[in-house]
Amino acid sequence: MGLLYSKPLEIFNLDFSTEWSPTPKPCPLFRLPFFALLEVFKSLDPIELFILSQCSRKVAHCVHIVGSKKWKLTVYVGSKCIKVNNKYRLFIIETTQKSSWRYDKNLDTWFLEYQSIGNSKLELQYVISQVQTAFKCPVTSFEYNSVNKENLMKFKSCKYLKLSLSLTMHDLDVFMREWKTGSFPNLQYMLIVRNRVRSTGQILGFGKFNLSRRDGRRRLVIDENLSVDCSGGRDIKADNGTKATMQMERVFSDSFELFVWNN
Amino acid sequence: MSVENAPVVDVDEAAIPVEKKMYYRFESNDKKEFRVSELAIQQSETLNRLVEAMGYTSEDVENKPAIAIENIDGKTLKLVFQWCEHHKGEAIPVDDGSVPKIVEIPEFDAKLMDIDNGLLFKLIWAADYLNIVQLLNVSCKKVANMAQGKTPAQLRRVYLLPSDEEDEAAKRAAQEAQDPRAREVEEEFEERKRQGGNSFF
Repeated sequence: MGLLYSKPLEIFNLDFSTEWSPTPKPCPLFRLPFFALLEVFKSLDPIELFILSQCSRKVAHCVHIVGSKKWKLTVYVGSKCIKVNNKYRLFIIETTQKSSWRYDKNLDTWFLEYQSIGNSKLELQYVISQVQTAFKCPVTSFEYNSVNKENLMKFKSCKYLKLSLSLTMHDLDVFMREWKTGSFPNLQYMLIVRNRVRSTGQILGFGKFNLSRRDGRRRLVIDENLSVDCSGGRDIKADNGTKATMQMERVFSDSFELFVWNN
Repeated sequence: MSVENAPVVDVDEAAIPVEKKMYYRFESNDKKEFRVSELAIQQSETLNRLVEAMGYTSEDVENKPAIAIENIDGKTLKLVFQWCEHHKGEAIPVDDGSVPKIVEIPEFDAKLMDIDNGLLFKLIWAADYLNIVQLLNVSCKKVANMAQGKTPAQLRRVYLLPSDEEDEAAKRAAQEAQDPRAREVEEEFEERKRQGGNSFF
């Protein structure tokens, strides 16, 4: 009895020689069966997979089959680093030479060296867009070294904000009034430290004493890997009915947190 | 045990325990015959289901023709059955969904896969076709390891990946092959454009 098959393998019986040759024969990746190709993709780490995606548009369009839509991207704007799943790093650095990729074995890190054209932010944005195109996942968080109250309003699409800013009670009040109108629809959690908080002044009508009080514990689950505990503060409601809690002094004496509850 | 001496074709009768073991006979597309133990066959979901469905007795195995595997050659099938014999009785791994997938290549497997890429490629096809999960895992891991520390330009060479320009050229060639008039029309269109014509049609 013969073993029936729907796809004859003969068509893939390429004429490979087993004799010794100075250069190894290539391994035609896209002639592998689908599940084997998927296994190869799964065995690559996210940065290797991203580099593979840079081989051509065709490759870039298919690497997401590993399930990368669920991955987390963190962008460190100051150090121009993209981190995937809190582990795999890609640094983008300037060079006077021609743009190239460099792998540092000791650091186990990839560097994308690019020839400076005067605006390094453009290069970072370009690489982020390439990563997002390949993996089809959103940037989970941006980490900035220098943010001021003026450009705080730029983070309207962010889900998670952790900032070191010098804001007064008035600044925080202005921000929260903006949040209340629904300007930050994706925001689930925000932590601002190094505030210049005083006993006087109010945020949405609540003073520092009210916002610092501790009563009960509630856990905010941001995603499967990230959750934060709210231990008191004051509950508020946005104009669209979204419920949230503001709390001060939980993390540090100068910290302000906003927990947005999904339901 | 060296890879070459793995018990695929030759069975050491003295080493067989007292209880009766069933050995099936398989034949590759180049007519090479292999005797494989029942336990080793369990590593292949496809073959395991096949022999279960056939319900052969020990006599049937000897009297009936060997089971033909018509799309795998003897060299590849030998590697497959060597692998199955070495790993017989081991649990079939279940994918836990982690990326990158953690796959260790054991020493035996590394030696077995110390082959040229052409044969490795055939081994992967066979592992996929015969549904041998762990063999597919380790062989694909070996292919993935080729990417370590490589730039996109190097990866194009290693994995034989065409660049965007080559893809475009192949697409054009395929279109032209389908419609031989396409190139003539395109050239005529370009010519008229050069001559300053407003409309082609």
